[in-house]
Amino acid sequence: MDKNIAVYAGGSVAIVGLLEILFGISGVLAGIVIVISTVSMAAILIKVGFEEDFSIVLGFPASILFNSSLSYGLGFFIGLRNAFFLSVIILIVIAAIMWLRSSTSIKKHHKSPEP
Amino acid sequence: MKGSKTIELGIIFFLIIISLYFWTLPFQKNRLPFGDVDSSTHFTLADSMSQTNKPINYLPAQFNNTYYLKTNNGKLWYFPQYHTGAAIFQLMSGRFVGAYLFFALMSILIVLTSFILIKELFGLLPAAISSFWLVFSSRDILWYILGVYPQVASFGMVPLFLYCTYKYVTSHLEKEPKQIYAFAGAVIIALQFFVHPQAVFISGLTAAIFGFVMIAKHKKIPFDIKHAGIGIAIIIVLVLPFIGFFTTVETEKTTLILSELPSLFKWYGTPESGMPQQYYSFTAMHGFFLLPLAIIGVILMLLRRKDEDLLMLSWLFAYYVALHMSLFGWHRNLRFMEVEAHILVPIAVVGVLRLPSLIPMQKNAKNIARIVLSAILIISIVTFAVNPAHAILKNAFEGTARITPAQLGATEWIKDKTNVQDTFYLLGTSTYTKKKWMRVLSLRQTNFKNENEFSLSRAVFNHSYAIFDYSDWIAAYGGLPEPVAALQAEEISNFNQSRPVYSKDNIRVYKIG
Repeated sequence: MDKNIAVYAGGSVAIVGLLEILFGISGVLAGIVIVISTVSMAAILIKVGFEEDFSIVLGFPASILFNSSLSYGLGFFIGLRNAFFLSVIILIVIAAIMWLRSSTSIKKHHKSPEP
Repeated sequence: MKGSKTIELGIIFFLIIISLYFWTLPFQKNRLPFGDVDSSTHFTLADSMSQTNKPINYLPAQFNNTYYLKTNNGKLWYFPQYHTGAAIFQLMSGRFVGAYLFFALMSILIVLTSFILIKELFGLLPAAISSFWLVFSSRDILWYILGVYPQVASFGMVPLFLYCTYKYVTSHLEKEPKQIYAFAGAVIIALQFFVHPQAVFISGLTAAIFGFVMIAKHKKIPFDIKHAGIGIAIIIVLVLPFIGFFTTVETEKTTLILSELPSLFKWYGTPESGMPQQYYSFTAMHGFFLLPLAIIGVILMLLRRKDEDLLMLSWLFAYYVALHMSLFGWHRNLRFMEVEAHILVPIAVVGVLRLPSLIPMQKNAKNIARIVLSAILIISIVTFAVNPAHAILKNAFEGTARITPAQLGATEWIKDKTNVQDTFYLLGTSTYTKKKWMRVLSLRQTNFKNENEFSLSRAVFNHSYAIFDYSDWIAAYGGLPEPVAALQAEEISNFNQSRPVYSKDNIRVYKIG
């Protein structure tokens, strides 16, 4: 798992770095949002029970279309930019809740037996 | 096992990085928008949202007096997600870099999704090689640079749907159904609808053909009706809120055309207009070595007929059917041809790597033979596919072929200094594509004749403003060629009493009414 986390981190930094070299701050902003959204969606998919690589690859278009669907609907009321930030936050919160819930249930499961 | 997972993730990131580098080549140096006729349309749907920070339901002013208004009674005729996504990227990363980064990212999906599917079906090595090859697929690149078409991204999701179909069907046949894949497949179909419905046809047809083949092979139904029902319900729930944006222009005119029967014996069916003849040339698009390798791959799959082989062959047959839809009066085979490399490249790579197993030799020798063949394949891809793709991407819409800083300056003045109700008549701009770009970048109703127009008609004076754009001609020839000089003479004689409200870089705008 540690090795994989290193690959995730290295890969994400490489993508953002390449976008920085090619497009400066515009590239960095896009890169960071892509990485955060994709990782959040992939985390949800992994928790649902899909394989890691499938989750990452589906996570990219799924997060883009999740954000754009929600932003489209909410954008009429709060503006597209605000709606987008809100949808990214919702995505991160869902991912965090799913990970926290699963780690809590693992802890419960591994509770040492009473004497 | 953990090591191989790390390698897989490493390959995925490697593929993302090389695809990103190559597919952003058209706007790495020159960051002005590019693309042929439809690109400006896709760009402006996003741009209209990002410029106002509001989503749109109905087509904005720049579409007035265009045929797009009839497509869906003045409403958007695409599901709004793709263009909203581009608008979001514009808000983050700027009007042009943002939009084109989004288009590039969505267009390279096939490289990654193909990796996931082929790894599941045939293993890591064929997946890595075929995805590397797909980075340089000419047809995908052409559709991307010509029109930043949403269907490039939607076709890119087909392998993810087939992955889910395969996982679900095989698990069901093994009596341990993983229904989660049936539901994921349904979500992917909804995502395809949101990006471009055309690719749903390929996904659905491939799954149907694969289903029939599995029934014939295993003599049992390869799915549970309850799971299929839930899957359909998921699609309906996700798509229903956006159904008003769905138009069915093609299906409304379905009819059997018997005169198209002979086209069944031609691989590409009946060629359509709109693309150069070269587009219909297999070798011009894919190089000379894909066809023989793909034939080997198809033969070996037909001989082996394992479930994974049958899935690939079902996909190939679905592609053949899509290519020949002119039999039913449909005219979309031009776009379906993009799928060709997605299917044939993996089939070719799998075929080549399977060759050593046909020759009786020791396991070690077979492994060495596979490594040697892989090396030969990679060298061939680098030698014969990378250079042409690099040239297409690097030289896409150079010089005055794309909108110039002078033209962008004029459109930005119009966008910032005039009212959205104002109407414009455009003269002088060198090509139809660029006239459309002038229209969408100014976000105003801008009328013009599709062909070159070198004299002033009465129509010009029925608009709020007239635009005279000589910039392309002067950049190309150093002066005005004869017919354009005649237009300038008419401009001077008709507007000698007026001062242009904008005059810069050989572009002038006059207020009329």
